[in-house]
Amino acid sequence: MLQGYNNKYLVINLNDHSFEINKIDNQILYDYIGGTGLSTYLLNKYSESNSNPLKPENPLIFCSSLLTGTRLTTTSKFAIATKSPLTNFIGDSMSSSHFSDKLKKTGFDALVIRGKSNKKILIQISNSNIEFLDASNLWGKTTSQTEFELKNKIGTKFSYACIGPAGENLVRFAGIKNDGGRMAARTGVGAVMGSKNLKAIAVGGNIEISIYNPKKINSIRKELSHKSLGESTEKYRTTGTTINMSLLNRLEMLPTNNFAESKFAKSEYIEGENLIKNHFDSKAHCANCTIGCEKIFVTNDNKNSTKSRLEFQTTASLGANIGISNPNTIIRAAKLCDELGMDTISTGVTIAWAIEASQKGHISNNIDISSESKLLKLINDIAYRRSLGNLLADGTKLAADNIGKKSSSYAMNVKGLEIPSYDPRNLPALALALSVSTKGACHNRASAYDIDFNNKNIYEDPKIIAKKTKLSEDTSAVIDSLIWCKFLRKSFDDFYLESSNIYSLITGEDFSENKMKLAGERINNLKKLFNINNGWKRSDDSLPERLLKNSNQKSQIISKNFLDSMINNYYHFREWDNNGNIPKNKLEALNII
Amino acid sequence: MIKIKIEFFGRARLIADQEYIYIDIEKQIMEIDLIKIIASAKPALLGEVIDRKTFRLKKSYNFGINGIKNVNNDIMCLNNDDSILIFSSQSGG
Ligand code: SF4
Repeated sequence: MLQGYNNKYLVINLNDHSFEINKIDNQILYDYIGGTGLSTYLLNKYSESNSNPLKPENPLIFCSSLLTGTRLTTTSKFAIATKSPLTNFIGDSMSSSHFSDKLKKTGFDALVIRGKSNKKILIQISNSNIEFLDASNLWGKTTSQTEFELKNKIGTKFSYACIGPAGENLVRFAGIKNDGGRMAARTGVGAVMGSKNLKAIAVGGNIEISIYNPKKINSIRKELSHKSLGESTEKYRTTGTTINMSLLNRLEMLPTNNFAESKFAKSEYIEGENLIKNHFDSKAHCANCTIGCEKIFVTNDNKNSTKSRLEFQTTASLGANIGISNPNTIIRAAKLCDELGMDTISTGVTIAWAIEASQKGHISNNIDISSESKLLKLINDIAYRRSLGNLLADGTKLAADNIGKKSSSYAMNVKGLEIPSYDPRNLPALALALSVSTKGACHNRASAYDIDFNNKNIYEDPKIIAKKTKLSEDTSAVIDSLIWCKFLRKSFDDFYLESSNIYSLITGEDFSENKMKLAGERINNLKKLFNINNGWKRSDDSLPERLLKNSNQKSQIISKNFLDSMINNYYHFREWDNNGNIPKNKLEALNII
Repeated sequence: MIKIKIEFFGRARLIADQEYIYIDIEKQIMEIDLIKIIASAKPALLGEVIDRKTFRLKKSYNFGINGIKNVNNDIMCLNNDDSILIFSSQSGG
């Protein structure tokens, strides 16, 4: 038994509505910590290689972590792991809300959902008590309607995770909404939930976790909360991330019109500075967060007033990348995606691909999003798989494979996951991180743009970029396993020293910085092993042709050769073979096999 | 003397209430002197973006010359029409 954990997890089999409770060995908790690490471990344990992500055999795993429930700032987070229906590789997604704390208070560190229910259901878990409830009356409801009804029916002492119509209709980039405002958005985790006929999960309980040295943790909590309000989080606290757009546009790094260009002529209308002046409504915090990077914006035209939480990625993917410069339209489109339970990045990038395919005559549909109502209709069509929406609901990779005609060359994804709005052509560390990321084009699994933005003169040297990216990926795996918010990372004077100290103070077991670093490396290797077992090959680690050829750039530095050189160096630092496979002795050294 | 452009992004822009300003400076200039000139052109930045005591950018902000290339030399050598970008040091989102 390790203090700070429940030391057990729940496995639910939806085929027959049964469940079992399993212990977690201490060694597994040392090795994988929690969050994304533990969920990756459980995914490997409960998955069959080459399974179909939307079939019952694909497990859906929810995982809290060691820090969850300690009230340390930003730690009310949880991880979801499954095989992604977008990529056919590991799908992992994080979210942040009271759902995480309540999940841990049920008495389980993780929840593994297997099989498929033969009717629409919701699962209610409370203090080790599990119930399967009919959800047929909730099917078809939006995420906010669902949560509203659940609060009325089950009560406000529970927290809820649910899917919207997009998840029900197996849109491959559907997310899982939780606790009102937050969504585990990426890699199609909501479609997997929908494939199981599972509309919602309600968690509640009052099982308290013991902490080895609560007094010291309490004083660290105060100190860290204080630090979290310092200069290293100023942007997140004050303006939020929507202001990224003006700088990226100025630097010609803002994906525009399906990444065909890197500068949006009308960006000023949708830049954060304008949104803050003309559309700001309020600030929002994830549960237990002192930073509060989330900003709610409100429309200001004479149509129905709509409020939506906007982050940079949403304003860029549903804005510049599809040529939309009306902030009111973006607010309504973002709100609609939230209600339908759909990832805004993949939605925007998929629409951008469709516009280009239409312009090139590769699809016969004429895509017209010149008016707000037409854009909103298209988003609805995707969620309900109506007409062209049915093709787009499969994401850019499958849609392009489906229509052929070289449309893959402008399908902006890596491994099937749509690319977020940082143009990697001028951000070499990000380009590498997006290429090798096990989940596909995710900017958060390495935060590698930070390397590009905060280092001098690394551009020429693929070795330095590769080494820094590998280290940054490992640190991110630790952050996502413990779990902290990435926006807190610069509030630490020494991240590993402080985090390992906190680990020891909670568990009562010595946990060195080196063990923690090794855990980060182990977790990334296990994610890679999952992919290898599911057919990964060297050519999957790359960027779309467009990003390696485009000549629109003033100073494009990512050529195919340069990217390959970074990837080779990255494999070298990971001690993988030249083809990116993990040698047996490396797996043994990491205690994976 | 040369003329350079100072461009503000994010919170710095909101505080300066302007996207950019032009200033005249010597071709070679100490960073601290450059920041004093910016502060006198845009006093609202003092205490918020520029440290009042040290006349350095606060930790939350970065300098870039004509891009994101960071500056950490005390003496800067600039050219006519160069742009200095002042933006948040916190990437991400
Ligand atoms: S900083 Fe933002 S994303 Fe992170 S926990 Fe706080 S509100 Fe949530």
